[in-house]
Amino acid sequence: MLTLNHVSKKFQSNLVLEDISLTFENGVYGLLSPNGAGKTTLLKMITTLLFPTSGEILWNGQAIKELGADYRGILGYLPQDFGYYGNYTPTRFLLYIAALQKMNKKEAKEKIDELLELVALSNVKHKKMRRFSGGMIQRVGIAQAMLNNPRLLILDEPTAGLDPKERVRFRNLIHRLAQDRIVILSTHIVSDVETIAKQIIMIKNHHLYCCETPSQITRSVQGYIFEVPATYQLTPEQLLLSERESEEGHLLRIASPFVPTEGVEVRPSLEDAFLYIYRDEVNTDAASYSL
Amino acid sequence: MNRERKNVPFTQEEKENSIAFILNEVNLQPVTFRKFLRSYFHEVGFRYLFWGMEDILFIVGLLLIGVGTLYFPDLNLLFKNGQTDEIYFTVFMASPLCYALLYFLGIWKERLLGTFELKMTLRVSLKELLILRMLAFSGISLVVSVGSNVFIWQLMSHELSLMRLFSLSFSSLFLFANMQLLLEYKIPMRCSHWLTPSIWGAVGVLFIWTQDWIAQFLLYVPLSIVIMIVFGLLLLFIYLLRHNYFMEKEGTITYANA
Repeated sequence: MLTLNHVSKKFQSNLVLEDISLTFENGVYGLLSPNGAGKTTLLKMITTLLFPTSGEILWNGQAIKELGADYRGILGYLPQDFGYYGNYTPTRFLLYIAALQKMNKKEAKEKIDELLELVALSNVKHKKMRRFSGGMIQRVGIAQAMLNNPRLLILDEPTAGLDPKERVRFRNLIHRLAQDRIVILSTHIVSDVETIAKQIIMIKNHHLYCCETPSQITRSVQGYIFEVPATYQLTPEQLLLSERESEEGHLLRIASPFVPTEGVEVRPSLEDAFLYIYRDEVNTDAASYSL
Repeated sequence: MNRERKNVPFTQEEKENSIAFILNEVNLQPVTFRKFLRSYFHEVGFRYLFWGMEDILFIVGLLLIGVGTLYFPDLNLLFKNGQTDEIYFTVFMASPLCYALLYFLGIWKERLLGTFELKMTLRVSLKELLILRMLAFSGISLVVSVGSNVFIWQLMSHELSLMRLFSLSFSSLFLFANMQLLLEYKIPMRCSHWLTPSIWGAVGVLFIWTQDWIAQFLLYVPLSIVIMIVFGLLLLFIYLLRHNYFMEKEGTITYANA
């Protein structure tokens, strides 16, 4: 069990995260926030790359800083920008990672073959990685994160560069893996975590905004999401979420604190909730696009 | 009845006995630097120390050969002009070159390829790997120093003191290594790979500027003192490596702009 107790992080005088308290048990946790909210900082603290300015992070009741190498031995980490040696083959690279994880050589070789099969890279396992596409590199990254059969798997934007088919395959894989381990998956793509996350963690204004199931989060905006015709004039309190084409014509999906005229209430999705919760950022983004 | 029994608090003596029993049973052993070294070479192995560094080793080898090829023809001229103090000075200044190039190019490559942070989170972290590499690079640099000094000595028809050449280059090597470790103690890891060589470069320029005074000093300082300094610096190097191993430092090189 991973526990964060009142964790805060400051860079000089710049506050990034404040008073984050969370408890993780086996399952997938989706860390869903816009860019710059502090997702990577939180993950870097969990992976011991950063130390909290205050508060503590515990693994089974022991401070991760004190556990040191033992903690890193149960950790699998895929960074946002996964680095690799281009003149190495995936097999050689994974063998190196396995050695630094102090894995038994024979077991490591078996595990590497198994993982390369799992991420569909068996046919290129002896090819140099410099010739690989972004998606293939990302799959090597996923394989290296799973190499030591980690009890805690941290994935920072893992689906970047994956095509839709690989993305679905990856989601299923993560869901299966999370049966007996903690998986923390950071993303700003809602569909990555919507169906597989046990709980969604959201950070807003440096604080923990919520840590709830996807259905609880969508219920929180129930009654605020409507579809209106494209001709509808939005008031300042209303927020445009998305647009779509239907048999009735062009429709706007909006969040509104009151029932709009000609509006039809619809079942909210996690993406609606995400856009509604981060509406200030959405409005800022929209404003910057119009400039 | 059972509930009442559960609520009976432990006495201080009982608590201490329980703690003593647990500590005795788990056979706690403190982590030591020696144990870390032994476990690395036993469980991981020497060869993985240089994985990912093959090109760096090749480039450094070529650079050293290039520097040697350019410098050695000038040696005879310096010797004929009676400028032996300049030879000692050059040996002193150039000795850490191999160590510095291997160390900083190694870190630069990890950063450039983006493997830095990933390797920081492995059981044998990059920080530990760098400590082991520093040990190995100091060994390699010693071998290179011995080779080049013997070569210079042969070239000068045994007219220079081989012992002085050795002791000056070893003291310079460990002086550099210790200064670098001391600087890294103060400088965050994300800056140390460029800030430390910059500071060392600035100090080097300052040394060249006051070359005459330093060259005279290196020539006339008693050999026994230089040898003592070498051993002192070597012990300090081992101590600082050990200190570096136990020191807790953030391992990230990029901070999010929040």
